Amino acid sequence: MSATAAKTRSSRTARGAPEVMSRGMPEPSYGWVERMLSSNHKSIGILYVATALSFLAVAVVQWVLMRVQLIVPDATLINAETFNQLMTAQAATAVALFALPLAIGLATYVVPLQIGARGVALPRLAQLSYWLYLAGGVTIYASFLYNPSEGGTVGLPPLSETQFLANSGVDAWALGVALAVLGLVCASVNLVATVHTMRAPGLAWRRSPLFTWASTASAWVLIAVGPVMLAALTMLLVDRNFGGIFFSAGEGGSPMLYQHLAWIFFTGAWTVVVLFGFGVISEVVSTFTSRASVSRNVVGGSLVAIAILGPLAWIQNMYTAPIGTGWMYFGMAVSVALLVPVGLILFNLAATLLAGGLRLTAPAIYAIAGLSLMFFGLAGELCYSIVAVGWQLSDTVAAHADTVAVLVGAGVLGGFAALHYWLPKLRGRAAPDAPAKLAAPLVFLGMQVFLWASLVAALQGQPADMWRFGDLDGFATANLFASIGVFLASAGILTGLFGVARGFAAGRAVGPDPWRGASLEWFAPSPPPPHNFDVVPDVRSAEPMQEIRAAVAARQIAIEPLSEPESSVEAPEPAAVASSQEAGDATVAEEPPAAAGTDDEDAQDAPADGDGDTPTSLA
Amino acid sequence: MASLRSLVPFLTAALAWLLIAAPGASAGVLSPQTGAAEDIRTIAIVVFAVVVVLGIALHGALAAALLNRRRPEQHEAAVTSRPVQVRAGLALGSLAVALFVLGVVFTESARKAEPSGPEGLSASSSLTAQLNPTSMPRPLDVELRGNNDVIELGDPILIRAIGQQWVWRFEHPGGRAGARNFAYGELVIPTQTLIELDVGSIDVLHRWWVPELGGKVDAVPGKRNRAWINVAEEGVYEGRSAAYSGTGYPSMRIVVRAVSAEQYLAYLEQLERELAAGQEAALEGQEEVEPEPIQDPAEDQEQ
Repeated sequence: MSATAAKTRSSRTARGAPEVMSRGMPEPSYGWVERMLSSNHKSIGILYVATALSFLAVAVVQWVLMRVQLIVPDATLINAETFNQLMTAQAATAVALFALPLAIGLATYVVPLQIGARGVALPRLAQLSYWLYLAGGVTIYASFLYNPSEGGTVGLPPLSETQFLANSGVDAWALGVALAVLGLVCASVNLVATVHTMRAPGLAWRRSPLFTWASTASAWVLIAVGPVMLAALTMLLVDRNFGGIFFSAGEGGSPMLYQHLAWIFFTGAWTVVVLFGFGVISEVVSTFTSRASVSRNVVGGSLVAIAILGPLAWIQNMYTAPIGTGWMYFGMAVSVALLVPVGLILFNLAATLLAGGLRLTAPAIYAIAGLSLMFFGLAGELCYSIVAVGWQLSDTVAAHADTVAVLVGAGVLGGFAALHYWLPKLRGRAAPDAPAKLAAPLVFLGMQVFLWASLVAALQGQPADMWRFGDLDGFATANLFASIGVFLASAGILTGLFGVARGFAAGRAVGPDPWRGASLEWFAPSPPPPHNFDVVPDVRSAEPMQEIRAAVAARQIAIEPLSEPESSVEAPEPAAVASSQEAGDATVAEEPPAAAGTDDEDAQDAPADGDGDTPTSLA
Repeated sequence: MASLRSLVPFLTAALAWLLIAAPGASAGVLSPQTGAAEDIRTIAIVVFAVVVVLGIALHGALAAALLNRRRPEQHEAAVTSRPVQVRAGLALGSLAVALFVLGVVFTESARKAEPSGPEGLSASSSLTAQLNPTSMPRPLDVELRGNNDVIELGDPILIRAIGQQWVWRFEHPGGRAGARNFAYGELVIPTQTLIELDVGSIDVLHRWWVPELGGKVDAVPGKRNRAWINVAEEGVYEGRSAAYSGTGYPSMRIVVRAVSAEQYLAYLEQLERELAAGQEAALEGQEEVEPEPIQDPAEDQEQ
């Protein structure tokens, strides 16, 4: 009809067609300052991801440096103090400054979109959480300007007390880790509040995506174990600075208290990383096999079981300590019980993959490599969770290598899979597949060499955290291979980082739903506007996007091709309205349908087009 | 061939395993010299075999998925078969229970005290009479690592291993309370004798570890930790501290020398003599007395 009708058709509500605001909206251009000070959960999520990836690069460099020192016996490249400082900083960086923030930050971005929420429940708390985390990281690394901590990976007293490490490095480490953990706890509180109160209508738990399950479980775990670590670090700081005796053996305290508390936290952190890995891999595998997980309820329930059992297994790090055997058997029982939920998830993922149809895109490649690497790490941890085996092999290079395998498999490879998978949503761009095809095999292969060489070295008697080993110790060959493995894996990780950065900056432009995903985040435009969704759909199944696509396709079929332009004004409308009502008021009249897999925004004009043009048939 | 290429990482990894793992066959943990270490090795191999089987199953599925990538025509509904899930859950649960039971059995066996053999120190009354039972150091507060059965005084030999930055100190039976016979770095023990190793620390956390003789024992200041050692054959067994304790941590080594009962008693006598001579020399400001080499009692008889 007339141009006026063309302009106002989008706001016509006479027949219940919704008002569309964000179609064709220009991409908002924020200045750096506005972006960083925004309390929008998407900005916060991107800040988390960017900072976490920066700390990943730092951790990789530290790891390589340490392995260069350990490549030959009696090496003198890096002295003892420097190595111990690197070792201490790298453990804090890898866990508290990379893996956990990446998991929570991605969850802060993606989970509200997945549940159809227009924001988060506590945006200022989420914003505070990021700045606390960044402050923690800065505190730890600022200590390198004067005195870094040499307290070891977990900072166990009495070594970390003032009488053995007098400079303020341990204080900086403790304060930095505490700030980061506090930030993570705040972000977890926000996540839990959002997921529990702001889900779209109809989105029951049984219909929620698996990444939402995993992230909610992770958030609950962090809320439970984060304050425990804060307590331990506070006590350590009091001991060091205010004459406290919490961990002083001679005066009524006990170093064992810190061990229990710290291991509760680190086991909880490991659980969060495992949950993140499984959540991401489940999502990616479902999407890229064109088939949902074989049993979403079982996988979701298993994720919850891992969240509950995981932190309870902290004793498995303390089998050699002077605690009663009752405690040890409790730890073993919980650790071995984890075999059931982890096994069920692996079984379901394997069944989903075996059904065929795997598309080897970058997310899928990283997911498969990450899944395999996670298995190796978890298998090793299962072996050491038997008390007698733990007596020989805990605190060896092999035990650390298995923990690193889980961190790299779930945190790094799982993180890369997640970033490649959701980059189209974050930026409207898809990263190229080529770096993934190089990075994933490199990381996998390097970690394999590292794992097996570490096992041999541990069997030969090499404990963890040694800055140097001797010529006559007998594990020179194993360490040489371990270092080579680490170099390969690091090259792979840096390649993957490069791929992600490249995709972020210069990937090919894609539309809102490039992968034909099943969950609600693909319903929003890419990148989503500040309010995420114009219209929050009613959710009727576990795969809402499938329903939406089916409804749109059904409506397309109902449109009759017309020969006379004038009569086309009225004819498509009743059919379109009727079919949309049949589809159960899905209120998706104007959204770009993804059924054809195209990004053609003009196609959406066809159903409600009142201009007299023949409806464009979707190719 | 493109799909087979995706298996190359797996195959290369398998090759890497073979190349790298081969030297591990003669490693310390896999060469047990005590019953406890043997039990640990057995259960370690069992659990390792279980996870290898699980790993082959999972990676077979992954490899099959990488090879079979035909795309179905349309999105197929999720296949949920409750009986299959229940059966998988029950299988995994049974495996978990079996592993737990095996773990308990072998752990209990590994921490049990093996009584001394016929050639060990406590069996022969003529030999034990030379050790005055009332002079053996008794622990003040023994934590629960170890067998709680009542052991008669005089039956096990109590040796204290005290960790300090960055050396191990060993206190042998004999001498008086507060003035035990001690040595640094090298621990001499009699074979086929039940030894109660009492591990403690005077500064930071240390961890006793001699792989061929058994598992690790934490040395926590303020706590006592105990392990039983009963070595079958004479020999030299090396270990080290396995807890990060500062810059000197890698040099905190342990050398355990297992000798016959007679040689051990001769060593104790020599130790007492040297310590007494050293104290006298210190009091009088003289130089240290040169230590005598350990004599084989058989040689003495010939002379």
